[in-house]
Amino acid sequence: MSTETTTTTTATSRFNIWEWIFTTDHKRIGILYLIGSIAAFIVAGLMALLIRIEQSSPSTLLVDPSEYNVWLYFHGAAMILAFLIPGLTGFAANFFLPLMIGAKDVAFPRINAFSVWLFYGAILLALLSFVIPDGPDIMWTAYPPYSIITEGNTAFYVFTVHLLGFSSILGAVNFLITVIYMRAPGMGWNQLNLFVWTTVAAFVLQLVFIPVLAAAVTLLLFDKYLGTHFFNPDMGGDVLLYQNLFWFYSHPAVYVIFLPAVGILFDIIASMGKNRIFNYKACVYGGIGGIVLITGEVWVHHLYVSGMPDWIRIGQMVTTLLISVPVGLIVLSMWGTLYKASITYNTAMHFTAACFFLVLLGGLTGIPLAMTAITVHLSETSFVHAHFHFIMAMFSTFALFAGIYYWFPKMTGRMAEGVLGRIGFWANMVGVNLAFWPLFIIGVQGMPRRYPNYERFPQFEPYHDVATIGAFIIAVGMACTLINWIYSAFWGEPAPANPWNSKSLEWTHTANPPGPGNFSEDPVLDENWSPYDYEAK
Amino acid sequence: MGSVRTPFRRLVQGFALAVLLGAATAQAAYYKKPVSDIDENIFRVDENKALGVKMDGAVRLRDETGTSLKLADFRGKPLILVLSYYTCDGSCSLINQELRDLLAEVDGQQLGADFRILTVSFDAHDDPETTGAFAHHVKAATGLGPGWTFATFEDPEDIPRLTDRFGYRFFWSPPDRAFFHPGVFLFFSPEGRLVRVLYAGSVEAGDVDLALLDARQGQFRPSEVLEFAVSLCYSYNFKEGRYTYNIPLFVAVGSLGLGVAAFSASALVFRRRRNREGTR
Repeated sequence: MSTETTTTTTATSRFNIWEWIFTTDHKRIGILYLIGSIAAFIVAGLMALLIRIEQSSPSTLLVDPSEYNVWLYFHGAAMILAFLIPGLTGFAANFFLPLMIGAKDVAFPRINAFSVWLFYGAILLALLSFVIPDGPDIMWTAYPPYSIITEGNTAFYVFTVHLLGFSSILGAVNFLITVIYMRAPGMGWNQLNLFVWTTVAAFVLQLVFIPVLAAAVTLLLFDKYLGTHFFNPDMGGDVLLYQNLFWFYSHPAVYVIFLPAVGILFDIIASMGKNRIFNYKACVYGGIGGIVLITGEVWVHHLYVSGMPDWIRIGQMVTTLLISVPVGLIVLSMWGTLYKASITYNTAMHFTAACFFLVLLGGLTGIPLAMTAITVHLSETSFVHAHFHFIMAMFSTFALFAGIYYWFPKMTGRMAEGVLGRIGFWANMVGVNLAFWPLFIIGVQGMPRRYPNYERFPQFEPYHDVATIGAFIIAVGMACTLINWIYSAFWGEPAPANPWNSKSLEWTHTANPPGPGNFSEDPVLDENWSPYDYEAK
Repeated sequence: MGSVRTPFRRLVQGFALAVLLGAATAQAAYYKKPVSDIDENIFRVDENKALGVKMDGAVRLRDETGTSLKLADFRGKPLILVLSYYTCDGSCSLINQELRDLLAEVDGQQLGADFRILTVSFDAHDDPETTGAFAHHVKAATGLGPGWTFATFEDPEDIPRLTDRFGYRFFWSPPDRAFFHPGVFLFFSPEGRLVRVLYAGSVEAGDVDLALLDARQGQFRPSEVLEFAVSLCYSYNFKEGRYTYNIPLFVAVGSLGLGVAAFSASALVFRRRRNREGTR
């Protein structure tokens, strides 16, 4: 086995923008993904604040419903397609996956660079929707017939999806080949970091399912602009087919987000708890593998209230509930890894611990939504809204933030620990609960999603007010977090070589930050090596 | 002799052909669709409103033997409802005979065993005698099994109640001394909800087969899995009142292979490049 070599370098060479634009270095590409996804996150977050301000009054307060729809569109599309997916599979996978497997770069560095600029093109297109007349007002789902008959520019949505989809497919191909063929000599499949496993799973899902979404939105584009009628029911199209195709990708997309988020948490838990992964193989083959196998057969639960035979509805209820088994295996491994662990409670671990709460809450509230009899009542209410914000949006955001804190020394050579980071965490934690708990309560009572005004339900106003206050507290938390990162990146305390005493390859064999080629000497591993080689407790 | 007659015959044939061509061209150039004051859309069922509507099981009918029936008696299996009148000397016979002929081509689903047909008259003057005559006329020389009932309404007030419920519009034309009415086949689920509407004259046996499968609301025998899978390749076209190829599904299924193909090609390229670099 090669020797461990780590150093920390905080002095950087002079900034050259051309080096960044034409870079093929996976680490720089990872940083570009991070900057782009955080930019999308900020704008989409501002949309969320505007939405919450609008909701603080039962009547129309700021804008008319069509403008409100544009906010909803941008918030949903940008958060999912331009922040969470690129943040987790673009940034985190790009920067850390090659380091974790002992690779000098990815299999196709130029294609990797092309991917990131496709991603930026998509962000640009999405941002243009605020500038052009009649921006898209079709949510992130773009359901026909509205998306076909609206005055809004559905094409912007479609081309954004095309660019992001193409970027994701290129990324998926690149990273799968990297993991299959470029692992360090001696590194077996059962020696991979769980982040690598979860990212591989996410890329497999992207590779299989994205083309279906691309096909669906392309036909939608034809319907809108070329006069075809694939989905327009008035002209003989099949409107439900679009919804089926959309969710055939978009439910697996939940796991494209969830899985890498879980992978980050595993690596943090193991490093901060100095513990081996509990039930590694069950987690990988049962948990991650199970999700990949089942996630393609659950999409219909998004369409329970549309017409379908009972056996399909019940069958999909079973598969939806069944997926909680592999998810349960993963969560069990996470809890088991914490057992008897000597946990270092830094900012990364705070966000990680919060994720345990968020996944529990989001998971438990998902059970009634999986059940046909109950979801008929809850469908399209703010209960659903609160559920997916806990399980997907906030859980994954917290996990990504945990990962950024965890790997901050690796990326910058400096520590980001400090009071501002803790304030940011607690503001986020309090804000999330204030913002979304009230939506569960009024959702059960029938508050519809996506309504700009709710004058018929004035009794819900106090709940919306609390949610709005919560949203602003989240904004304060996010601002503290972002300021902390920017400040720490330039003026933070220099990081030790391996600040968490992790056993993972990116900490033990590379400098902070890693230089070109990543490794001063090629890592060679033996069969006993493990990224979680901590003493058994 | 023959050599004289042959050119003459050719001349006559050529002239006749020219006349025919000229007539056809003139016909094509000057043909105008007969003007009608009736908006064709009147005879289309508004499926936005009618689909999913449940039939009133309490409506009472009387068949050709005079036996009293209820609409509820037709639940439990898919039902094709054909509204006609039995003294009709025009389309009613043709519509019912078309359905009969289409069903003769439908494999796998047996009239009586798997579904039923109910032809019911919206003319309050029809009685068991006219019903019997019409039934005999339609059913004559068919190999269709039992399961096709011809009936009239016991209470004439039930006629508009039933037809209005499903957006079926008809009226009596005094100058023509005939009812003007749509030629539609209404497909009901076993619980009595309107599921599909097919228009006579524009449907094929495959459309009837698919509509019957749809009317079964996803209930099929294990031996029919293949039929059910094939039915997914078609979608019901509300505009045309028939089934058309489900092109988006073909595109989507085809696209499933794109990612895998991209990965396979890239893996091949990578391995070749690596082998080439390894041999240098």
